[in-house]
Amino acid sequence: MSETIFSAQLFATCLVDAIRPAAGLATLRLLERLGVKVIVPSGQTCCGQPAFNSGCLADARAMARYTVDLLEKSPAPIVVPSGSCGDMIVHRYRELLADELAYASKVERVAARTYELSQYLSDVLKVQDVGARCRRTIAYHPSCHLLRGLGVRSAPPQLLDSIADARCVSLPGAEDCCGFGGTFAVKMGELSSAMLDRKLDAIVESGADTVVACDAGCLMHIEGGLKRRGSNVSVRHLAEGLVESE
Amino acid sequence: MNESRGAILERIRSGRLGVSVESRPAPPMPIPTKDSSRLLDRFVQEAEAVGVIVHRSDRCDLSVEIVLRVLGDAGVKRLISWEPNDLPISELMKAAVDDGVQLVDPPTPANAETLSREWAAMATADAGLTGAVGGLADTGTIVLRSGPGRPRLAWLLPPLHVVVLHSSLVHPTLSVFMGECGELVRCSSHVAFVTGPSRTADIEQTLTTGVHGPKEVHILLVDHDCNPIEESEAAQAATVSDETRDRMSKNDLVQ
Amino acid sequence: MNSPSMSFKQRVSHALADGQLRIALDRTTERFTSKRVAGLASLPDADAVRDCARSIRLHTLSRLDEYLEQFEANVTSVGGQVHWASDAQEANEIVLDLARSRSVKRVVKSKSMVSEEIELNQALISGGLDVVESDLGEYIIQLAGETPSHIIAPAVHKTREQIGQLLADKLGVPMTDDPVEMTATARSALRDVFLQSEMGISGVNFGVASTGSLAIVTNEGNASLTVTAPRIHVAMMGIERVVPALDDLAVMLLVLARSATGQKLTVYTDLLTGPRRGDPDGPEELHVVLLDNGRSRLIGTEVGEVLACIRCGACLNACPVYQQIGGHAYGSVYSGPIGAVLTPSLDREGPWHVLPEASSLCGACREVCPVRIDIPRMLLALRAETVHTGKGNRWVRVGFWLYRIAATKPWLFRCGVSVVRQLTRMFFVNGWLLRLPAPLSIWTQSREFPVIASRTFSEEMRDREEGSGDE
Repeated sequence: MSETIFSAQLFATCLVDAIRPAAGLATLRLLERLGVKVIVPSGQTCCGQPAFNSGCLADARAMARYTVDLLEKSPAPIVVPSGSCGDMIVHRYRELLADELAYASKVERVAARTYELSQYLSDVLKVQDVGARCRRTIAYHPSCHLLRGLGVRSAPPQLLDSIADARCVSLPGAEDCCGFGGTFAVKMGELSSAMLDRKLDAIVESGADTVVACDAGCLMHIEGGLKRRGSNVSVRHLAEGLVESE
Repeated sequence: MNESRGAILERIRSGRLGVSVESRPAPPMPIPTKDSSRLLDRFVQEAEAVGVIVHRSDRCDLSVEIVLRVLGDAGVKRLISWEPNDLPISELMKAAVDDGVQLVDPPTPANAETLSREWAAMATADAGLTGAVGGLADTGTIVLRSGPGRPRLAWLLPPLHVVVLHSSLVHPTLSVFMGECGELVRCSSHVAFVTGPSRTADIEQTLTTGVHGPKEVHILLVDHDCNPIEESEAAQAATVSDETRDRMSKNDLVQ
Repeated sequence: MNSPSMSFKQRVSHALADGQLRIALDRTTERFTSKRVAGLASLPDADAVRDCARSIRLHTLSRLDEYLEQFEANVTSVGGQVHWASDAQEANEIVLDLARSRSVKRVVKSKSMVSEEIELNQALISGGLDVVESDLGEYIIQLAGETPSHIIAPAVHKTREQIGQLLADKLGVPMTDDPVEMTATARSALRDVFLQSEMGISGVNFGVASTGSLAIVTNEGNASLTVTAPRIHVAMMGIERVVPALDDLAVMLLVLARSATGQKLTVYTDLLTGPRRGDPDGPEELHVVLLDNGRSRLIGTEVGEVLACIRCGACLNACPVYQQIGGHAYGSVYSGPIGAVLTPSLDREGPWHVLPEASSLCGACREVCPVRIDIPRMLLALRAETVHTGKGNRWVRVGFWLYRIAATKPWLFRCGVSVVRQLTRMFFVNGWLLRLPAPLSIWTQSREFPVIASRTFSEEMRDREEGSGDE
């Protein structure tokens, strides 16, 4: 694809930046391969979700304002490779900054053009097959905020289905939370572990050799649990899965 | 007590200032089917799905025969029955008595000293016989109303409940029935919507019937006119209104 | 068994270690969840009915004072009596006074969350009355001396074997694990209780303002008997439980049973309008106790919507946290997601600010709620209030304050990431940390923690830009 008709801003999110840069690079490569001109606004940090979910609203507001200012400079759509950060920007910024008149229209503009990655691929680019190929047995874990916050249910499994040579298997209790929940994983560590155990059992039961999700938080949680169990199931972000071409 | 009333209402009002008054929507009303035979088939199907045994009859003598057979099969000796005028088939009660069944009446509050003995007698009844004021097709529900001559315990206490329902009284849904039953509710102290036999799943979700109420419910769905129920209902409604006034003045005296 | 003196986290540990409890929870919540789905599928347009049910509840709450006055006037006009109670103590005194002035000795009860909330049983028993619960599940836990662990299935935490043993111990019947036999035992034990009690106390699912009727639903028929056999019926009702008219009631009933148990309609749906009027049976007196106990204060606040709840229990069954720990671990009468909102909202002085933390905010509760209450949003509002009032963990607050400073200054953020990277890279094994210091050590008890990448995404991007600049 040589002709560029789409452009997008990539907001990588703090977890992808520090812990899973491969997912950010894969997103970038994937979008460019599909002919999108990608801008990565420099100076991006964190959307503020951890603080918001912990009730530290003043801190969350500061981060929200910072991120809105950063992203509203360009009119290009914003692509976020994370369901929960996407949900934060699309839905929560409005209530968080509701009392700040100076931000009302900025927040609306940013929220209206923010997409989670799979959403952008299917709704904006209208892509169903990205031409990926790999020999894997894949189970998809729908992360909660992508599923119930942004309402994205079918796009990621459809994209995974299109990978040549891959086999997609269903994950028992797929829509159950993996127990990450941000600071919940530490504040309620024991509960979080019990929820994770159930998810890991389901992954093993599914017979998959690869588990895919669209949220770096859930991936970090699930992967950390699989490593502790000594499992060799590999964990991939959707973007990582979609750029593979053996 | 009055202080609390005022304080509670005041707190509600002061909170309300911040809330916009949402208008009340019209409930979604399914389009009722005009086809009465489909309605009745649906009623029977749903009632059977919740564990009710349904009998149908288009002749008065057949109806009597069915009820006597159900009572006989269950070995019923003692029966709590509604008054003949409150059953769609008025001769049912007499037929049961002629068949050797003994009637049990609820205790009257007047003789308090014999009350517990009379209660104990009620508890030994084997069956209850009632007449429904309505049926709901989409849930298999029967609607019963209490009143003079219509003890509630007849449908609650014995292990077997036999209820006669005239087919003209089957409504498509609860919503349709509720839309029309305002007067019925206003003039009856107890209107019961009964959907199947008494059941519980409190022990590990294992379904068990007959925990407090009847274990077995038989509906006799009749098409014939023996004792046109509409007329007797209208008459009852009038009597009840009079008694309501009596009752209320008595209550005023008590309190 | 959990004790009230334990902290929430201790109760969670206890529950997670209780194998029997987890078996019982697994069996029950799964079955409830699949039945709910099937139940709603039987409605032609379940989403429209849920929208309508929600609007009815919100509309009623927005004019609650008017509907309550109308309800009171209509209850009175059919010969009933309405009592208003500001708090638990006042409600208990009202019931106790009624019992005393009418020489009541025996009381039979049907399940009522409101009476659990105000601890009515304890008040009546201390007042010298015999009180027996008639719902099978409540009867079982009353025999066991416990409290309900689920809004609609109070004994969900017990296995059949435990219940069989309990009945054998308390009633002297032979031990069995057959639910049918156990149910028959309870039927005969409770029969006399219904017929010999002078007072029956019930809850109220909905009060209908336009007719003064009380709608009460049960599958067992125990509420029907509770409000029929005894001479006096006392109905305990939260002030939020009113609906405007009978057609509104019909909509609420369409979603209540389906969401709770998957049934299209509960077996017994009783509409009670005043005491008996020339009937051969039924109560001679009807008293409605309208309980506030912190509810009126919520109207117009961020958690006001919690008053729209119809107590179906669907959010409990759907909640991955409840599925793990059951109801008792919450330590409060109302458990699960709705309990985590309701409990700290009604009892602001209580030790409940930890409950809103017991959620991963996965949103499963919001998805199943028949009246679409946004429970996660309210959990967030309560968390924010905890921080705002200084009741929360100080270190969390300081931590996020520091994080915010870094996150709004990109150079500082980069430095921060580098420092943490250096720290994590001192201890890693194959790219993972096997142990973290407290308070993060809880993570590494069951999971490994990733180290910061050797090149972060933003570092990669900077290299890329510099690279392209050279071209």
